Amino acid sequence: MLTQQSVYEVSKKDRRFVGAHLLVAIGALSVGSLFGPLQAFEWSGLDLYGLLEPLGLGDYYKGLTIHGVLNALVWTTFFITGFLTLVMIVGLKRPLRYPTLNRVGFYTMVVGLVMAAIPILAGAASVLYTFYPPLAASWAFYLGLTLVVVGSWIEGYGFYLTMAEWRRENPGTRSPFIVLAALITMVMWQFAALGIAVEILTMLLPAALGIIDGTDPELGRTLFWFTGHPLVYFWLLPAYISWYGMLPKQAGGKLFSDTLARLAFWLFLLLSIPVGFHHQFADPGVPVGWKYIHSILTYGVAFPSLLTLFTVVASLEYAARKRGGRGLLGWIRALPWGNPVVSAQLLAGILFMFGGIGGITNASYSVNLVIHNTAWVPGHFHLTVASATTLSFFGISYWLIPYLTGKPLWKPKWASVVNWSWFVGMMIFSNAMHVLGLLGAPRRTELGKAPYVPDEWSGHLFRMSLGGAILLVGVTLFVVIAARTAFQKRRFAAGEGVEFPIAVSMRDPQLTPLWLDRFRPWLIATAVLVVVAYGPQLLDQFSNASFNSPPISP
Amino acid sequence: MSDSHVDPAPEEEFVPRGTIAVVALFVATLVLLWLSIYLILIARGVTI
Repeated sequence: MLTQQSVYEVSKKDRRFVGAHLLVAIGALSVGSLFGPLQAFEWSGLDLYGLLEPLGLGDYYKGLTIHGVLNALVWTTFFITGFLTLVMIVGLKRPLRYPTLNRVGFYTMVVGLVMAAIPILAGAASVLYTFYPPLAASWAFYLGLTLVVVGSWIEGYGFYLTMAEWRRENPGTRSPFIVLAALITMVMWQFAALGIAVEILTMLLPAALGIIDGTDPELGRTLFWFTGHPLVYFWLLPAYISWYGMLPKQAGGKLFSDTLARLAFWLFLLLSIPVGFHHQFADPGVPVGWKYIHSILTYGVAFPSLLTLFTVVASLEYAARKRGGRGLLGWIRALPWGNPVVSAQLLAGILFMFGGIGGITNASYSVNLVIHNTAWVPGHFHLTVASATTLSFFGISYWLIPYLTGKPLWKPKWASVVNWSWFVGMMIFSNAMHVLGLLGAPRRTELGKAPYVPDEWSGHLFRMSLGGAILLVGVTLFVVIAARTAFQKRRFAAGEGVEFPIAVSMRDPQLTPLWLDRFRPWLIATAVLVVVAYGPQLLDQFSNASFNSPPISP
Repeated sequence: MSDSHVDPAPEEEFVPRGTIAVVALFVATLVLLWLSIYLILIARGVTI
């Protein structure tokens, strides 16, 4: 059994730096979330976009782009880089090796965000967050997104250099789990983002600047999904860091297995990238054999997901039994549900179980052909990025903002209301979306104006709209709580405060096998698997690329 | 919960039986939902 880890005092400057990430993240969430329910209402026949017309925001597809870009890309990326920065500092108990480098990364992301936001708001980039060619946006949109990605890479380089310095200072010591997990997350992201970088720099940006006449949509989609699926894990893994490395302590227990936790993260690095063709089952340009290979690898990713389910739940069971929980399942009631930090993550986990089921189901070829490009898909990813990730980030925020500001959480009971409203709203919303998908309702489309909507859909469209309304209440309350916490005058009294939660493992991490603490073999294996799973197809698609699809500006 | 409820058993003896039940429930739900979707699709008949 390990002793309680000593507290590391994070400097005010570093707290402000992490807080700046959160400020941008929550700002993006607050704006982006307004447009999600508008889409749901529009689908059920209540078109409120007209109210935004005086602001120039009355267009459905512009609103959908704002929702996708701000919520799926900006809220997540800024929150993640800020959270991981703090994980590195506290986990290693030392400041960043080159803090200026990380600041350069952050400001690069901010510049990119502004650069991308201007054409979106001007209606010159209503290409949704997948920006599939031949849909075309302003060059500033592509360059802005590139800068956001590059900025996050730069922050990652700052992490690596900090880790290298720590290794020099602590030879022979196993890296702390949360730090290893943060680094794996960043490595996976840098590996994965190569696809989108190549797509933008070799095709989309040159086409937007008029250097080339058109694009190759098939190649564009392949490069996008090289990044697109592991992007989901870039969103999820920081939540997993909290579930594995913090939630057990917050629930009153310990991490069940440091070894299993590390193994799961390495497997996510290994398996999350070479799976992109399962997003392209309906693409005629990808041979069926490669779709089959990626399909098998997709089911491979289910393995570390199941490891995560087992290890996190075992950690929670241990905590619950320490709190007096009894019975085969009765211990669940003994978890500290009244603590909003904990309940947010528990509810996120429950929602994610359904997200996992939907993901595994729609990865099967026959089901995928039915639900491809239907409402099922956003129904599914609202259970991942908008539940497992976003609701976990809500829970993290409830201790992180007080930790950074030295101010207590404003109205903790209201935070519990946020958690439950998000849970209930998402259950209603996502279930309706899945059913609509099975019935053939297309995703993305402005259904309120479509002439082909059958009566059979109307009840589910209403449920979707109801769920969206509840979610809007939840996120609005979250933003209010976050803002009131950060900007209130009240501060913690002397002796009070929030500690950075690090769960100790039941077994000494020093006993974890060395091969689970070394990057080299895993990086090599990941590179080899990606080359094997993608290389021949990328070679074929590049060598046969035809940049002759003229741009379409919506 | 009061401290008197704290489990005095050493951690080494902790066997996560409840966790195994949760995982089994998850797998059963997965199988049932997956199967139900196939049944829905089969009930619609052959599409060519």
